[in-house]
Amino acid sequence: MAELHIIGQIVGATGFPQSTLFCKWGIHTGGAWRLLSGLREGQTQVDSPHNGEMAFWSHPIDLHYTTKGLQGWPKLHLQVWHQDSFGRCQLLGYGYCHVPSSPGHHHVRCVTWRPLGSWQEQLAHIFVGGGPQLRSPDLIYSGADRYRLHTVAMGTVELELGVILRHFDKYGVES
Amino acid sequence: MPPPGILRLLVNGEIVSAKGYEYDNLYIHFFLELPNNWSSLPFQSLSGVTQTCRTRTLGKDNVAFFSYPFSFESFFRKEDRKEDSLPQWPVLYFEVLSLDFWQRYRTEGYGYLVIPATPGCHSLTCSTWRPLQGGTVAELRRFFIGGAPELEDSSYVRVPGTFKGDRLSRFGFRTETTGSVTFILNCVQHARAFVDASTLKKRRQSVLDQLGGFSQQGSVYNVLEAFQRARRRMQEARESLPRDLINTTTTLAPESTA
Repeated sequence: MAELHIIGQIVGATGFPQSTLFCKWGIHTGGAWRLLSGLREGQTQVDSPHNGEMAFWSHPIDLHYTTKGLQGWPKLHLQVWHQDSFGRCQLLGYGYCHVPSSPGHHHVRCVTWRPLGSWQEQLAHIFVGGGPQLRSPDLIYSGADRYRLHTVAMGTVELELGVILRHFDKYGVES
Repeated sequence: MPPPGILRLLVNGEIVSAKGYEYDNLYIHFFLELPNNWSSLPFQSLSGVTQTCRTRTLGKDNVAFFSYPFSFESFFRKEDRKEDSLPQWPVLYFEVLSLDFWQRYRTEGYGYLVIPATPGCHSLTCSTWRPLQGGTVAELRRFFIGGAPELEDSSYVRVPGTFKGDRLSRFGFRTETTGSVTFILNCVQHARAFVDASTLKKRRQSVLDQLGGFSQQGSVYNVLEAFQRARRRMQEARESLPRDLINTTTTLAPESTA
């Protein structure tokens, strides 16, 4: 059985309209993959940057997977939230990235988007905040049936991921 | 593992962003073309449509973020008709469209992308063009009424599917440069031949080591390994020895009595 280590961190986010941000993350894999150790989902602290617009989280990711097949390569999905001064939370962006398949150190920039509602909801978003959210968050990483969805581009989340592969060459996999 | 002679190609891809288009509310329609000798699993779809994304300004350009996942698996079988023919790789055709206020679409750009032949992580940016109808009237129509010229066959972007001839001519066809689309592709190749290749490489390395005898560490390791091998052989011999002795005595005994 081949093994995969993902070691890295969610560095931070930039380009969002608000700056007091936190992030929920998770990893989705196919059925052939089994988690040996590590946490597959989590949430960062709320970070409000002092100067500059980038919010830093430096949230660790350390996972060890074993797999019987190549289908369903791990995908990392993210939700970026904003917490305002009253403690209310508001969704700012959904994003996803494939865990790189080649071993080594990768600097990943994950772009995010937010669903855009009707014009009434957009008006409410400007004055009150809030906004529509996905009913099933698995749409972030499934990609099927996105045709009717209207979104708006938001910021980017930066990640540093180190990928270590073991025994993949034994099965004739080049990645 | 795929059967011998077949290369399995897995692509985990992502449509990241589109940049520099004229109008807002962009979406991308894409499909994959498999050349001859390639096949794929019957249930997986080789096409898709992203969500519609409103752009935001980043630097000088308007950027739409899709972060749209797609993945597919395909198989290549080498047929030995011509020895020196290089395999053709799958091609991804895509089309950028924009929605207007009345939910009508206009074409914003056409492009294509050949799936990289080397395994690993690739970030690719493709520039696109759209067919142009000359004159201000056409532009005004595009703005007010909608309806711009579009390609009947998307494979015209590269080599048209119906093309037969010596040289491809696009004389008389006018286009306009539009924006660019960024893709990230993780290609994984899987074949039985890679296992043999990697063991061959290892054997060659060990031969080199033996010839060179470079480092002290290497020679110490070799000595240790030789010692272990000798020890194992001795242990095997010792285990098999008494049984042989017993066997010989038992077979010898009846003969002596008889």
